[in-house]
Amino acid sequence: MPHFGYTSLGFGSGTSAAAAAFTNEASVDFDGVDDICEVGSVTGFTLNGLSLWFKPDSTLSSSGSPDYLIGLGDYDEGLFVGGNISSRLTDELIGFVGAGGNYLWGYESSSATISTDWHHIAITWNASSSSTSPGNPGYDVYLDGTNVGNGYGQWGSSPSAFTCDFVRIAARNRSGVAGYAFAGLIDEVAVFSSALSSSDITAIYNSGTATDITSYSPVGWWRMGDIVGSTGTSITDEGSGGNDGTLTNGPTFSTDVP
Amino acid sequence: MSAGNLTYVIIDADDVSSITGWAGQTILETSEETLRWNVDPAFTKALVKFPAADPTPSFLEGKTQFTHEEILIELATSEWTPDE
Repeated sequence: MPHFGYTSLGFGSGTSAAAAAFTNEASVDFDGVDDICEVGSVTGFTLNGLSLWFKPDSTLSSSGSPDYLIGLGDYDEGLFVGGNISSRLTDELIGFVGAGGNYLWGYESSSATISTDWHHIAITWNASSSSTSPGNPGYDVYLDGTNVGNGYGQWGSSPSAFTCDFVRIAARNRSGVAGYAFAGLIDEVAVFSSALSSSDITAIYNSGTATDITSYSPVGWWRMGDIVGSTGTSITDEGSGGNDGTLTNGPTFSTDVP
Repeated sequence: MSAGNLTYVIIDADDVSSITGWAGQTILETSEETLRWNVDPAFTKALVKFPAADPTPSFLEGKTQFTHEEILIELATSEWTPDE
């Protein structure tokens, strides 16, 4: 696997701070080689929602190699863009891998691309009928405020929202080893224990401008340079979990923000 | 620092111990423990990077240097990216 090790895992010491007025002045630039933001092990919670912004260095299509925007478990769980990761789906432009790597929900298209502009992705658990697996529960996939999910593949049975107990931004995690690193900017990464409604996602997308998500009570919210003043290597968790991240292998702050 | 301003070098496993003293400074990798390795289960090769404007660290002299664009192409090969 395209991997690199990481051994410093653990709980952060961040605290939730009430922001006065929301501003967004920083993101983090990852090189797609070995840059990551390592949060590591977190207290397990059911992941019902995810929101983040990203700006890839190059145009993404389903014919490329998958790049993980975030790893969320010990075996491939997480969100990737731009390439097939398994034979369970074809032409994955966006994919979200669930518990144990056994479930894959996504947006398949052989012709669509994701440009080098800022984009927002939201994932939310739909307990009744998801767009990715109509008539069945599953994760819905939103790109820039639109539900684009249209594919589902599985190795196991009875898909469910999974317990997230690990977070690594900008690469996959498999048994502690990182891989499939993302090249580009990432900002405003948030995970939720409650599902996000379509209207929630519309509000969070905010016509393409990042906004305050405090009211959605994120378990983890890594603002990627804001709060810490774009210095050092610590990324404060503004969510309730208090699991700070650590910039590892040299990612840098950017003032290019959504 | 933008990845476009970095130089990437592939090193042999035997060279990894030379990172000590450079890591987190000239060499941008945080430590030996956070290196990216090739697919070979024996972990025979790893990657490091340093600012292109800086002098080449002595233990990297004579080794092939890659730009960010070049190293991404190299990493897409089967030596660094497996078939899943």
